[in-house]
Amino acid sequence: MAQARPAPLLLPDAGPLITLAYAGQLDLLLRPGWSLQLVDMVLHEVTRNATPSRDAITDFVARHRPPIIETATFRHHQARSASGTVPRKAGLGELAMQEAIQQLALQEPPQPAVLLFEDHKIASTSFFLPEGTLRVSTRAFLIFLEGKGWLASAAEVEQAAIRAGRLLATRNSKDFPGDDPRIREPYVL
Amino acid sequence: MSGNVNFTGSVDRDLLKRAKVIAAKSDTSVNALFNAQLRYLVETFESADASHNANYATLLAFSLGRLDADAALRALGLGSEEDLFLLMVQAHLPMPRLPEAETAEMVKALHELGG
Repeated sequence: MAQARPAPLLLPDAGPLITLAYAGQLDLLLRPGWSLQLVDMVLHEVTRNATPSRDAITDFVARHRPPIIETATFRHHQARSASGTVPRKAGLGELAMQEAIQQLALQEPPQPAVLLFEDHKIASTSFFLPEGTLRVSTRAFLIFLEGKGWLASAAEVEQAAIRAGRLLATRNSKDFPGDDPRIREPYVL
Repeated sequence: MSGNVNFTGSVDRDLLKRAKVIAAKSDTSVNALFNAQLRYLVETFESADASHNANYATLLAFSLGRLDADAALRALGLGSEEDLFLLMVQAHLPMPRLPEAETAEMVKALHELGG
């Protein structure tokens, strides 16, 4: 008798968490009923700075307590930070995601997973994907939810995120990155 | 003297549908909307270019998928993807999009997963 395939895990990258936080729709991650899990490095990336989405993501995590997948990438990052070394930041989230995928693939039977990324990350990052693992965009995930009748409009979620971003950019300049001293020059578009 | 010329292009079906709704609500044409937005983009780009500010060109390259996020973050001196998202929004540039056919394949795969 064939064994039932295990239900997939849902692993969002930083981009989808930020987009859904701006849209006020982080709960959509729970809508398919899959086990939502967060990769430690990704969670750190979206909560380490005082950004507008941080509170929404922190609150969501506190309410739903998704399991956190621990990675050597994050341990290494923490150790470098603790030692006073300025740690590398670029690409660590993706590295940790890849590590998490490997952990899942090595389980017996292999644990299927749905990896959620923004469009540009899918276009620019290549991953080895074990059988049963899907890499999908936030947009595809939202359209899937709409198709299932679990969401009224996928486009509306994306538009809500953009509206929230514009509102913030125009009304709340103290939080806008244009005033961030990390930016090399006064920001003029 | 500048005059109007015709040209041929293609546009996402759903985007055109939404543009037609906006045109109707604004009592104008899709052509007029297209001209206004193209003028905004051209003038913003040229203005930044004239002042030797490469930020808008960087964001445009990211929007068009010609520059990846890490390269855009480095070029702009930003520390997080959220900052990049906010700058894209402020610049009125869309985030990069995968081709619709690729997105449709992902949606199909999700349905097949039996969610």
